[in-house]
Parts: sequence; C-alpha cells; structure tokens
Amino acid sequence: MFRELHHSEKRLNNLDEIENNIQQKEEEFLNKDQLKAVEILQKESVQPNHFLLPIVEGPPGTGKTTTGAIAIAKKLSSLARRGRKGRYLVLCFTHAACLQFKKKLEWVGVKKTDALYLTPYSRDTDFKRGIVGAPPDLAGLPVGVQRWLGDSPILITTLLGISRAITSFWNKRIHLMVDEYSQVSAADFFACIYKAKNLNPYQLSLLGDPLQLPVVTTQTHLRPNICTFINPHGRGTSAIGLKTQYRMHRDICDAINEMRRIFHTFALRPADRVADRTLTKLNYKWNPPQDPTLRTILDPDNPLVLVDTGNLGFEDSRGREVKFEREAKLAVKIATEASRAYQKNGKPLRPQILTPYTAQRNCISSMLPKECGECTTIYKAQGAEYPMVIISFVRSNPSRFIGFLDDGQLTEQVYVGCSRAQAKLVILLSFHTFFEGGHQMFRALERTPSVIKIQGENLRS
Amino acid sequence: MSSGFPSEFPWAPIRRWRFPPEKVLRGNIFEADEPPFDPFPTVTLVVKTAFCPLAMVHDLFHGLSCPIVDEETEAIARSRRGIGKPFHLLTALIKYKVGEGELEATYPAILQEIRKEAKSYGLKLQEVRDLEYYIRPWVRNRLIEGEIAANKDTYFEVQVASRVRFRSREATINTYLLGKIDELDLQGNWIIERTTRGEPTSSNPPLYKDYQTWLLWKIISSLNQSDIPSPWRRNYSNTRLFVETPHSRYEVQRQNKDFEDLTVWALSWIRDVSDPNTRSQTIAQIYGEAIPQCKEQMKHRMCGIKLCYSKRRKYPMCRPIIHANFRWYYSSFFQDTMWKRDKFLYQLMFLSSDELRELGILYECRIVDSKRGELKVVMDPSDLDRVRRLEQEERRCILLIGSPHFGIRTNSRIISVDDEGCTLWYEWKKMPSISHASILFPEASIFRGTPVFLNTLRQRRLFSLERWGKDKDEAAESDPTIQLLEAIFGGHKLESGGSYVP
Repeated sequence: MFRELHHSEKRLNNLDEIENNIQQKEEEFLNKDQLKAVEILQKESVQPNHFLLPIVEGPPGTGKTTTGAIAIAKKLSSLARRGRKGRYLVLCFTHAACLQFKKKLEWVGVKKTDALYLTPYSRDTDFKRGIVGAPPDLAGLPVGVQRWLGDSPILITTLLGISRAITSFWNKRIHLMVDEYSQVSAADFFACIYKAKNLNPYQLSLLGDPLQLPVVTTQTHLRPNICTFINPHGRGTSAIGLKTQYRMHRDICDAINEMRRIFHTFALRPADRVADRTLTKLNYKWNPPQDPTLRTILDPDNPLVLVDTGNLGFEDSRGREVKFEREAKLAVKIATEASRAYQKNGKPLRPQILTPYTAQRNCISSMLPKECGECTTIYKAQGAEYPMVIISFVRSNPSRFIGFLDDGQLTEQVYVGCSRAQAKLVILLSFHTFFEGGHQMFRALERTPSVIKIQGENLRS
Repeated sequence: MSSGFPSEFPWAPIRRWRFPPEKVLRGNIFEADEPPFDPFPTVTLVVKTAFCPLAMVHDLFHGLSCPIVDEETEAIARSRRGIGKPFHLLTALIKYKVGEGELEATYPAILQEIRKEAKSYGLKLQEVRDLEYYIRPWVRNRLIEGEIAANKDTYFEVQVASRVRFRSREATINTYLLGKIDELDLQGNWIIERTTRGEPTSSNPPLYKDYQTWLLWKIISSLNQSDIPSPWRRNYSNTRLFVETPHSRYEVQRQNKDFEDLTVWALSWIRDVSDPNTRSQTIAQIYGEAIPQCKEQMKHRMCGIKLCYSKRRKYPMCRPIIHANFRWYYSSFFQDTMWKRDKFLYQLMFLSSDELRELGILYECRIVDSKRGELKVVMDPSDLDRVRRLEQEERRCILLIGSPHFGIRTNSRIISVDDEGCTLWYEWKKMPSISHASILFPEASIFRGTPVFLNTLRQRRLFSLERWGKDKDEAAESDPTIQLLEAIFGGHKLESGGSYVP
C-alpha cells in the first residue's frame, strides 16, 4: 500500500484544486476577522524591528480551525507556485483535535496523504488515510516511510508527540502552528520550542480560546497557558479576535455572552445562518410528548432551558467522587424522551449528556440506553459540538458548596459545556445551590433573557 | 568520599521525615502546590545523592538521570548506555529457561537464544552487538562457575519497600525506601545486584554497587513478616549479598557503619531539597560546593553529568530572566510528581487493600489461566463493572503479584473484559505459583493528568533550553528561537497581529 502511494503521487499535485477551493471557501465562509487572521498567519515571525507571534483568539464555533487550515493551504500553494517547498507542523493538545484539524485541511482540498497525522500507536497506521503510527524516534519504520514523512507538506501531531515530527522533518525549516493553546501551559510551549529549535521555524503561531478548559495540573505555576503567560510580559501584544460564531442559536449565544462578560472579554455575534438554528431547522421532525413539562423542555423554540433539581434531594459525595443519582435519572429521562420526540431521516436524535464529574458520568452511562444518546465528561467533549446537549451539574447541598466548579481556574467547565450545543441546551442544576450560592457563572446563566426555567420535581413521575 | 563533598550534615538537627497525613492518603484534600509530605525515596535516588548531591538535584528538578557511568563506556562507547535494561531482562530469561530445561546450558545455544530474544525485544543490530559485549563474558563466567540455572525459588526483579531506620554516629532517620532486587534466591539465601559496569581485573565491585546491594538488604531485613507474602516469607537478616558484573561476583558485608552514615547524609540532603522552606538554600549550597570542584578537567571520572560545566553562550541575553521563570517550573514539576507518584506509593504502604479498592487504586483478582505475556483473571462483579467503564487509554495498569511491600510488579494493560473477569497483557516476568494478583491504577483521579515520566521529559527540555544559545551576533539575529525568547523575556518588541488585547 505504502509503495503504491509513494511512487504514484507527487506531493501537493492538486494545486489548482486547492486554490479554487480556497477562493470559494474564503468568499463563502470567511468573515473580515478571519481573512485578516489568514493574512497574518502567512507572515514570517522574525521581522526587522519586532517578533511576530500571531495569536488568533477564536471562541467556540468561530472557525479558528477553518482559519488555520485555509492559512496553511494558502501559504503552501503560494510557496509551491514559486517552486519552493513549504512545511507545516501543527500541534494539537489531543489526538481527537489532530484528526479534526486534518479533516479541516482535507475540506480545504489538501489530499489525505499530504496532511499526515502522526500517532504513537502503530496499530492505527493507515497510509491511504494519511495516518502513521510510530515511536518518537521513528524506529521500526522503513526508510522509505521515514522519507515520505519528511517530504510531507503538513504533519499533525500532539504537543507531547512533537519528537516524531521533529525526527521526520530533521534539518528542514518549518512553520509551527499550535492549536487550542488554552491547554498548552507556558512550560509545555517552551519545551516544544526547545525541540523545534533545530528546525528554525519561519513562523510560530497560536490558535485558541483562553476561556476553554485550562491546563490540568496540581501546580499554580504551571496553570497559565502560553497566551496568559505572554500577555503580562507582552508589552501590549494584541490578539486577532474572531467575533462571529457559526455554531449556536442566538439564545444559547446570549448565555455564553453573559459568561464572557464575567471574563471582561468581547461579545460574540451569531452568524445569520445560525442565529435561528433550532432542532427543526436542523431537519429534525418534532413529535411533541404528552407531558406538558417535558413538552416545554423539549420544545424546539425553547433552545435554552434550566431545570431545577434542588427539590430532588442532595448529592452523594464520597471523597472526590460526587454523584447525584436522581439528577442522573432525570437527565436520562429527558434524553430518552428527546430521542422519541425528534427524528431525522427516520433516525432518532441522540442527545449528548455532559457532566463535570466522572462518577456522575458512570452513573448516567449505566442507565442510558445506547440509542438514546451518550454521556461524557465536559473535559472529553472539548472541541466537539452537538445538536442537543443536556448538562448535569450534580452539586446539590444545603451549604451551596459547588466544589471545583467555583475554582477560579475551573469555572470554564460551565462555559465549555454550554458552548457545545448547536440548537438546544438543557441544564440540570439545583437553583438553591448554584443561584442562591451567588456563583457568578451560574448567575450569568440565570440572567440570560431568553432562558426558560422549569421545576424538575414536576418530572419526578 | 568519592564526590569530594564534606561529610558533615548540611542541616542540624535533622528533621523528621514527613509522611502524608490521613486526609491526603484518603484523597480528601484538593491537591495543590506544595505537598505536605516528603518524597518516597528510592534506592537509586539515595545512591545518586551519596555519589553527588548535585546529581540528585539534576534528577529531581532537571529531569537528568545522570547515572554513575563506567569510564570505559563514557570514553569509548557512549552508545552502550541504556543497555542495562535488556541485559537484566535477558540474563533473567536465560537463567529461567536453563533452569526449566527449555534451554541447553552451552555457550553456543545460549548465545543463539540471546540473539533470538533480543530481536523479539526490537533491539537494533548495533544494540545487540553492544549487549553481547556484556553478556558474552557473563555467560562464560556463569558456565564456568556452574551457576546459570535458576531454581524454582529464584525470582527476578522483586520490588521491595519498607520502613527503614538508618542510624549514623550523630543522628537517626526513619523513612520508607523502595528498591528492586535483581535476583533473589530463596534456596541459596542470597540476593544479587547485577550490573554491566565493572572491570575484568578489578578486585572490588563497581563504585556504589555494594552500597546499593546493602540498601536493598536493609529494606528486606526491616520488613514485618506479615507484610511478606507466603512464598517469600522468611527472615532475611542473614541473607548473603552479592554484586555480579559480567566478569565476576563480589560478596558484600552486611554490617557496615560507613553505609549507615552515608545514608543519613544522603537522606538529609533529599529531605532539605524537597522542603520548600529550605529548598533554595540547600540547592545554593549544593551548587556552591559542587561547581568549584567540578571543572571539566577535574570532573569525577565516573560522573555522567555533562551540564555542570557547560559553556554559557552569549545569546539569548535574557538568560537570567529565563532562569528566574523556569526555576519555578522545575519545582512545580517536582511537586506535581510528588502528588502523583510519591503519594501513590505512600498510599500503598499505609492503606489496607479495602481502602485502596475504595479509592479505585487497587483491585484484587484471581488468576484462572496464564501463559507467557497473558493472564486471565476473575474479580468481584462491582470491581469488574468499574474496570469495564474505563476508557481505552485508562486501561494501562500495573500487575502486582504479592504485596506492595514485597512482590513482583510488571507493566500491564487490560485487553478485554467479559462477564466474569478480564484478560491482561503483561510484560513477562517469572511469577511465583500463586493464584492471587492485584491490579493497580496509579493515575486514578478525576482529571486524567499527564503521566509522571512526561514531567521529567519537560524538566529536561526546559533545562536544556535554558542552557542552549548562540555566540555569533548574526546567527542570533536570524534565529527565530533566540528572537522569540528575547521577545518574551527580554526587551524586544513582540506583536501578535491583532488589535484586541486579551
């Protein structure tokens, strides 16, 4: 398989197709902010009187990956037209994010075998799809495959897997792009810089949203991501902010903006094509349930619903394992009813249930029928988007204590969880614990003008 | 003392070793910043500190393993570094196979087997040659002495941990210590510390290897009988100690007052470096004493550290500011490792198996079927349910045969889970014939942080970046890495291309 690919294909041999694609996508999908970002992402970092480190700040759904992918394709094609070979190294935090970036590049027209994803697992190798599994020193890979990797215009890998890419691109100059920098601690960034220094990067750039989930660590000094680290030192560095989002319904976007206000950052504007995005607009057929409360919760015209679970009792907390079984049951019930109420092409809707606690995820997963949805932690869901999201925030206690959800560094869990939803967001939480406890992020949710509030006990039966 | 350090105690009186409080062990506190306990020392770390406290600082804070190296390896064949692990694995396998009658005890047959096995471990041709360089004399000597067959009571790579008291002439330190015995022979009542180091004609064991063997003996002789699982239960106070090089075998004396002194000295350095209140002073003191003595020309002939006397480059000029920032990272990664690895080790020592199970750290199981590299085990349905819910990347675990104090521990992974139990892949080691095993999940936590070894990798990269640079003005001006560092840490202008200030 590899031999066939290696001998039959020259790299970037579809320049016309890529250029046509770029032009079409730029006209159709990119706004003013994104076009500016694409332009800056192509400049070299070492400038006569300053160092250019482009930082593209893209909140959820604003198309930062699209912007990055188009910038890469544009730069590579312009270099190829001038007879020069360009090489990009894209570093993402997770393997899922790597695959997402690869898909975006393919969407722009880059062939699967021109944007190679490097993984540590050799069992995942699929040359046709452009996936290569290898150890950091590429040991065990045939020389031909190693050359093929080194010749690749784009390599995508995780931050911790940078050694693979460095070995592949040995002695060749590169452009280095880091995606989702909110999870990249300053220490990790400098450790990567050390590895990349021999490749003399023409440009270093950062894409991400500082309000996404932070670096996971026990240490305060390791928490600032690279962007927040640079800024106090940055003498007025200013990022390129992407302000139009292409994911969420207007009402959900309002809730997100209320939260963004707490962080003193700019508000997002829903693009026209998503502002009225309801489940029915996403072509789901709506079959209202009999129960009036459920009908209100699931109504496509109520994109943002808060369900009070305070009257269902209290959480069950053992050490760091926290779960709330009744709330879990309620989440499962709503998911099951939603899959009955919405159908698209004869298939039921599968809502995504999110929760910050692993114990609650386990509890929900054990009760949730497979065809009625899936449950993951909010951490796991970062970077993904779903038509309908149900969030179970678990905490319910008389002292209004909400654990790490109130920790200054981890409040982003609320923001990230809510911003995964495209058309419908149902949030289960104890009003008494979260709202009366004065927790800012949750007060922001409550303040959202279009929010519908429901008493969970009405659904007990 | 070989490293030339003064032998008086750095801090007097020596403070008590801090063990984790109950709430830390039970996971009832939010883990952040400085751990309220001292590290769980290993035999390797104590030996390293005894050799040179700066080696310990490099190990804990800069991710540099800095082994004590052979002069010959250092001078002639640096590629032979790192061959120790396959050497240990293969010598154990050969002894096991000859003992079981699976392999003929002749030189050509053994050599052929070694090549075959080395290939299956994925060693490159050069690595196999390097390995043979050590293993050929070892095989020859073992055949001559007639000691190449393991008996049914010989065990390899036995992990031992215990609370040990070291009493020097001036002070006493009471702490836990973890180590791995290369070979334990119950019939012969001896332990063997095997090494690739050592010269053919030397009448003494390689530097500090006798000390290392003595420390391992201190651990097993301090163990409570109740902590030793039945196949290994006995009194080890009279066990004979040997250091085995490829060329010969040396006996080590058990009673050695100098070793007691040395251990108290080494542990007191570790204790002071790990305490945030004394850390800066201690590191400064260690550097102050080490650096003037350790010029390249006068470097200890067996020291493997390259960076103590490395040349400072002119660029980046903001190096002091880089150091001021990075030094917090080194400490933070060290503390993070303490929260993850050392706390886990203390939990294994202090908590009962029921408490460990409750915390999702340890699950007990019964072995129903085993073949080389694969085990089938059955376990409690509720435990199995928890195991079933683990995601693929969380299924890496440690297989423990025996107890956390005394047992054989090997890397493992859950391959599949069925109605009654699960199937495990494990890195082969000779196991005793007992039917009970434990599965350990050291990184069980709400947030799946990154593994401990990555902390070491990061420390090493940051330390190398701090030391790296260029001398020529022109090269520095066009070098993106130098320019980036100057822009972030120095006074150069940094732009991010937009108008929005994050």
